[in-house]
Amino acid sequence: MSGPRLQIGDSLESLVLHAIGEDRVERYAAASGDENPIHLSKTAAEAAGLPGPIVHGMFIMGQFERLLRAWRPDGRIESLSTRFLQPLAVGEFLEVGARIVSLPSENSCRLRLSARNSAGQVVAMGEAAVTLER
Amino acid sequence: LTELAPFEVTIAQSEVEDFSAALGFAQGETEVPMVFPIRLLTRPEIAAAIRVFMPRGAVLVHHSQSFTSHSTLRVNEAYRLVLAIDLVEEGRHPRLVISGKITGEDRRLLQEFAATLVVLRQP
Repeated sequence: MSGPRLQIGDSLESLVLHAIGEDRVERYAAASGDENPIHLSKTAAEAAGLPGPIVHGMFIMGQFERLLRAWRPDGRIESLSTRFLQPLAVGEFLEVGARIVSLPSENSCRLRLSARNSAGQVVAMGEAAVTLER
Repeated sequence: LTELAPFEVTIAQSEVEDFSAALGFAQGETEVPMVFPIRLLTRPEIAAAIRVFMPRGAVLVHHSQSFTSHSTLRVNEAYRLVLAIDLVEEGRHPRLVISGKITGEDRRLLQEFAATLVVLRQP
């Protein structure tokens, strides 16, 4: 197993996106095929009862995967789950972090994940199980 | 849940590159992202099958999502995607529940996922 020994309570270095702008959201919409107008149009978002366009939840979940892959390129993500707690407005800041919460075996860990906006509010939380190469 | 007829899917290299780049993954990463199967749900024939379960004019907002990987997906491989869908009338807004299983040509289970989406009805 390469890299430092895992310990419960260890935190991963956070991933910070200073502003998820319209261009980034449009790029994700095109690449994912999810062109739901609540992500792209102020009018459509407001008609759906939202204050304005929101970032795709799956973009945020993708940042969880990005964080885990950057942390341990030798790791294999066995499972990844996310609950979206509140919308993240387009243009907002996003900080994604993770902490090891259990070590089921010498080369595997479970992590708790969180995504926060600029006010420090949790917009999404998740869990992951990662197995590392021996 | 209502199980739909299986969809035959192949993941193109260009799709993975575009999707990975849009998420900000390191350049040159060629592995299919774990969250990539969400891309499959927007393919026209699959999206059309899902829309059958949605009220007309409804807008979806993601509530929760999970993926379990039994084996890494690869580009240019033929897979079978089986979806099971239900619209659950519960609380203020109905929820669309979608579960998916991706198997290889030998029918071995490679990945499972589940999505719950809140259905907002347009006024």
